[in-house]
Amino acid sequence: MRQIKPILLFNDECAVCRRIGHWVEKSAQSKSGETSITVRPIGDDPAALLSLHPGLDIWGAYETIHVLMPDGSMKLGGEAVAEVLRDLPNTKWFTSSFALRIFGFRPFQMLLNLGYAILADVRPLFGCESCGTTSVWVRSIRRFFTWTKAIFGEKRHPSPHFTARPRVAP
Amino acid sequence: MQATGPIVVEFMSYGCAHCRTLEPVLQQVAEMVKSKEEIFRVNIAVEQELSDRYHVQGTPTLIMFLHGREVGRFEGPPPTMESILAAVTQPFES
Repeated sequence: MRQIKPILLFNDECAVCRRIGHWVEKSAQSKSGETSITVRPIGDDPAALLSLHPGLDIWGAYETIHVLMPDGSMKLGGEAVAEVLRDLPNTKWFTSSFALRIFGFRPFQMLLNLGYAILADVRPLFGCESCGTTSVWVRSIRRFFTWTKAIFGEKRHPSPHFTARPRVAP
Repeated sequence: MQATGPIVVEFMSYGCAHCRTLEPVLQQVAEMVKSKEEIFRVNIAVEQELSDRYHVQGTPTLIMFLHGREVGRFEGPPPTMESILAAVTQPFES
């Protein structure tokens, strides 16, 4: 089957990504019900992903946001976010700014890349249990969150994923 | 686990960042030990019954089997060659 719309792959094990994915899905619908972009979870089947694109690696798909283009190319990270915004009826009006070049640089695209990198780093603070060990700069914020949650008596939910700490059971 | 030889099973999920970090190291270790033991991967999102049976609490978890019996377990191993190599060989030496 020929792909006619871009496909956004999102991490369905991450609460933040799931929420963003659903928001994109909703925002991509026009009044007639047509969608400008297909939103699908990455899932657990490497072969299914390869059938979408021969160069798509499941580990890579979970590592950074991917948008598969109808021409067979792939956009990653901030470029993928820009593509998603370009495809949404409510946001496409400002996306021409991402292509704007000043002295060879694309300042708005660079800002978007930075915004994506920050969001990817802070996801564990907002309920991503599968995003792994937080970056050093996020840890102090996390400690503050944990401290305030402890004060207000919020219970901690165990994560289904381990972080890097040695623990040997006999 | 019906096999009689040394078997290592990694219980993982593709969405787990720590499993992603561990993957290249585990691939290298698998290559190093392939003449002595086999390493398998179980995706807990697909094989939930199997992960329940072996009481897997989180990912990644490495379980070592000999003659079908669990002889070692390593939960959330640090993704270094030394620790993984030790984890997948030491339980079979004792």
